[in-house]
Amino acid sequence: MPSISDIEKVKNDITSYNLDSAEAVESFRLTYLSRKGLITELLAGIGKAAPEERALLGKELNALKQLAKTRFDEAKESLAAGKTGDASAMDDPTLPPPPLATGSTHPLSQTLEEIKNIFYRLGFTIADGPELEDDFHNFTALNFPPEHPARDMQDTFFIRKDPQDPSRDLVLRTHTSPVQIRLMKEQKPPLRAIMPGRVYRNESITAKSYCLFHQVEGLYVDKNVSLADLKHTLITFAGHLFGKDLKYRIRPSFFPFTEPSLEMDIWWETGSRPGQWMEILGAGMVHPNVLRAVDIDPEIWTGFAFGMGVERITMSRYEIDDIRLLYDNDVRFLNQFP
Amino acid sequence: MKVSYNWLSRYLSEIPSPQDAADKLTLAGLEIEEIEETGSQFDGIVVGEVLDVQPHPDAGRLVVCRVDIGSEEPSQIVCGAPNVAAGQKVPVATVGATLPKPMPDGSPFTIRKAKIRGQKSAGMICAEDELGLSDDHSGIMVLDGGIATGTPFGQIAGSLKDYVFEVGLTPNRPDATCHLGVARDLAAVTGAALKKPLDNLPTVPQQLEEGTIRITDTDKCHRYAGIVMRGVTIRESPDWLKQLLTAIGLRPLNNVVDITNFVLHELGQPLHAFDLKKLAGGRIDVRSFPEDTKFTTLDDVERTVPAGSLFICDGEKPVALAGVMGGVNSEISEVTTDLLIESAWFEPVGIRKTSRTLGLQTDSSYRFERGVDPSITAAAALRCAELILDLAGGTIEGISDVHPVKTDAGKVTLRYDRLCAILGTKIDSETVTGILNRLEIDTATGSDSPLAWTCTIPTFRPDVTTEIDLIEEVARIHDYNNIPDPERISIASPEPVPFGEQFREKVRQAAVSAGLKEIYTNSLLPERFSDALGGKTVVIPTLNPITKDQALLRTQLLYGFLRSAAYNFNRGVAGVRFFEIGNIFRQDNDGGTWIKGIHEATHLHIGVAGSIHSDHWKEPARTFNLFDLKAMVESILVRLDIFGQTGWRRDGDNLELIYNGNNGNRKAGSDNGAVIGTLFEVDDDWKTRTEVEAAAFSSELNIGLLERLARKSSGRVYHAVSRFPSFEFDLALVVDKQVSAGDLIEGMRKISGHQLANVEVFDVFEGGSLEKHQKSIAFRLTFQDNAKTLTIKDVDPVIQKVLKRLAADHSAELRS
Repeated sequence: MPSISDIEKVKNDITSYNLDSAEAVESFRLTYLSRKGLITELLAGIGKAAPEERALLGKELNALKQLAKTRFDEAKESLAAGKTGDASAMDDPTLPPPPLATGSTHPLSQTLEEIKNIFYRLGFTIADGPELEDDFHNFTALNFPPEHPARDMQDTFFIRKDPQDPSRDLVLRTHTSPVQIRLMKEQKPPLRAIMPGRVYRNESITAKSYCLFHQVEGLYVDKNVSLADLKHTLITFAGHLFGKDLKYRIRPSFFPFTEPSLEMDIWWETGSRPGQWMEILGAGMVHPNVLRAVDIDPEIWTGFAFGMGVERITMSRYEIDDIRLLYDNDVRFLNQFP
Repeated sequence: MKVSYNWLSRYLSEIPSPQDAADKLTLAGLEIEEIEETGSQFDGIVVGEVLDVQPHPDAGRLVVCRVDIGSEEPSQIVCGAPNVAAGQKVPVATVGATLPKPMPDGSPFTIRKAKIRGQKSAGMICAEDELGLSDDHSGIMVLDGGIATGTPFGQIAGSLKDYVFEVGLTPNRPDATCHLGVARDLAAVTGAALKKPLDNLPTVPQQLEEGTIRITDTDKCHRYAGIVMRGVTIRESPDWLKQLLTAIGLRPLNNVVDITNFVLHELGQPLHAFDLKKLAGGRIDVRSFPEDTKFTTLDDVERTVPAGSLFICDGEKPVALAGVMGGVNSEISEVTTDLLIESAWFEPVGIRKTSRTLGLQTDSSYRFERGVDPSITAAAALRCAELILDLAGGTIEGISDVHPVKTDAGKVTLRYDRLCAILGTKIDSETVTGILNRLEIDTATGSDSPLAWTCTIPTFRPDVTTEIDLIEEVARIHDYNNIPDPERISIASPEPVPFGEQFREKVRQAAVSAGLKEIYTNSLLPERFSDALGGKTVVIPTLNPITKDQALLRTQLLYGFLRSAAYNFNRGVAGVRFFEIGNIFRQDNDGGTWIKGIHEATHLHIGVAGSIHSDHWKEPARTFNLFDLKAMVESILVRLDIFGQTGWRRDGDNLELIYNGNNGNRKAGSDNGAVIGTLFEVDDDWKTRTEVEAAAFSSELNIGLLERLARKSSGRVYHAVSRFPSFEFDLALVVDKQVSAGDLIEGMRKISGHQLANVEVFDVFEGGSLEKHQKSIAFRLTFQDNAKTLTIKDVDPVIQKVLKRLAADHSAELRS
């Protein structure tokens, strides 16, 4: 009389039976599946079992028979296939799989995303403006007087010249700062936003310059905003982006729309290059004239603004020495930024 | 702008080391972008005594000297100079020294032990030219006999070494366009005393005759000082002057011209010296002309000067283009003896206009357009006269200082509390006044409580006009890096990230998930693409492009994709799959996005071209087709959760993606049918223009329109998944080839209602038993109900209704 544990044992034997040759398969058949085989023998023994156990034993033994049959059929099939040659040639997991296309974002998008995420953590939201701007937003409201040498700092693409009223000239924005003006005109303080976007300079295309690039502008206007707050924000930002132990310096600079104005340099040492100071951003306290231009009282509200170049940061991080690489879209280049 | 370290040191009681000085200036706002070392320190060159001189046994023109250079043993040196003699003290370049003057081919001349015609020689006795002191090569340099042997030569000659700072000068600092101005900042930082070179100005015997100097255009010229000098001798400048000018990149010409340049770079006041004899009537009139004027400037170029530009004229004609460049007709020459020295204040905007129109920027115009000090006009002319008396002789005849428009020193109030509030730190009040006073800004206490000062702004600081300017002055000298960080970052309650920004990021991620690589392409396209981009009524040109290749604003993103594809195909890449998110621009006379008349929108472009994959053991190579792209676009729409609100509309071979209010979600509402974008195979015309040969497919969608759909669909509610099995029904329809599968599917959906969960096409067939104009499309319809198991009894009536409607609308027949 068979017991459940007998059946379990046979089941294990069947499962682990080595079936890698025709002889083994035949021997397996004889052992388990033939008319005098083990399973037939076990089935015959059911009759001796207690009636209440018979159903269970029958079920188990049928499953066992099915298992043995499946193993036998598979082994036979696999032996037959092996003889034709095809299946075993393909049955090689070291063959390379068909390629699966992997998408990726551009290195500039990757840098921008990191910058955005840092400023989100610092409580900034995001704002947007047009790339084709009028003179008022791009220059006049930002305290660039007409005919001032400060306008020479940026080579401008003009779209329309208005001989009557130069503030109605249309230009391709030379910086993202005009978005500050739009934001301050649309909303009332407190304001805390970054404004990324594409900007243009009328320069010929070389390894060092392109006719466009990308900036991230930042603006914070509130009560009691100070230069110390600005410095602290910038240092926190740079520490997040470049690592906490970076060496930096902050030095006075000039932008018509901020005062005091500053630029931040970080000490940059990578690979084979000797260390050097590298400018990463310009910033300053929003100029009272700019606040007045958008009807914000500079005696009540103060603010800071900053701007940085996404290309410059990307290029220095990856030691990219030719800005054109960022716009050629060579897949061998893009593949390096998965 | 270049500044010489040696030159700076003339105006300071103490100066830090060059690197330290550069760092201090940078941190005070005069960024030193580069330090260049010039000149020589005479390393390895010492004073030697010639002990004896013997003739060279094998060379008649050479002698063999024994020279004591202060070491234990005298050195044997072979020398060819005619004047060498025993007992002389001479400069000796010892073995290993490099001469200041390089070899003729420019390589360094380093002294080595040598044999000259068989005689040992260990060193070289130097002539002046070899030491870079002059061009004199007539003989060795003989020094004073009292100098000890072994003394480093640098101690006697004074080091010629200099450090030239390249200053990245910001446009707000006209005061720092000269050495005195830069020295003032350095003194303000270090506390050193500033030594102005204005203490020994000559006294002038008399005023020039009334009318010698006349200013007709007093709007453009506020002050003009002229000094007449007679009997000067034009000659070469002394070495010290030439060295200073050469260090900052100027070419010495003659003593008088060099002195005017020196004073310009010393005081920031541009000067001009006229040959008095060439001035008709010996007088000056400062005026402009209502018409364009032809004038030949000192560089021998005849220029057409625009009307309204300011000229210096003599009794008859223009002799200088005011503030920009002198004229060839009044130039100093070797025979000049009498001079008129000009020192003037010209109005900045006018000078800038003239200089820009002519494309002529000079050291003078650079300073005038930033604003020179109207108080230094006469003093600078006198400083120039002082140096001319010293270096060119002659006498001062007289001066005329015409000053029709006076500039008063400005008064600006500085509130101590405001300063501390803006800077975010308390700087003690004595530090504040100390800094301002060192910058020559006078501080008179205007109020004790709250503390405020009335500051008097020197006229050399036209940029300081308001309180915030004074705050910046204090901050920059105090050093921004000394402002302590607050302990916490203060944040106004943060606003959420706007929906549009979140959506654009989602679009980017969806495109990446579809296996696409992001590209960035130029927004400025070549002029020759005008027609392809939509023609003159649509395309926006730039007015002043540097090249014709950056002349037009893109009206679509297709160009950038195709050029990027071509770039890769040319480099052996078999296939590309790209996406770009960027702005496009079109004329829109009736409307405008931000600016009236300008449509500016953000688009998503998806493009594939060439091979989807190359030969592989599992699959043979295959090129991309329209459906590969369509699948990508649809997967993106699914990811954005707006697929159900869109539909494809056929337009010839192209597809348009439209708002589709009837397709599942009805929320699209009134925008139904609005076109979001297109999808098509790129035609041969575009491919030829962009040099693409492979098959290319393009889809361009307006992200703003996608975003509008997404706004409508945001706000998700979970729908229970049906517990009942679905029921599939296959249906093959025979239709005319003109009938679109899309229309049939839309028809099925309209009739079937909510139970029709999905429609697939599993076969498209033509030929065989079908008529030539016919095709057969096999659909698999999946029906599902949330409340019950569907059977053929439920589905059959629906199928019959569908068949009836499709037969009526599209003459579709069930394939038997």
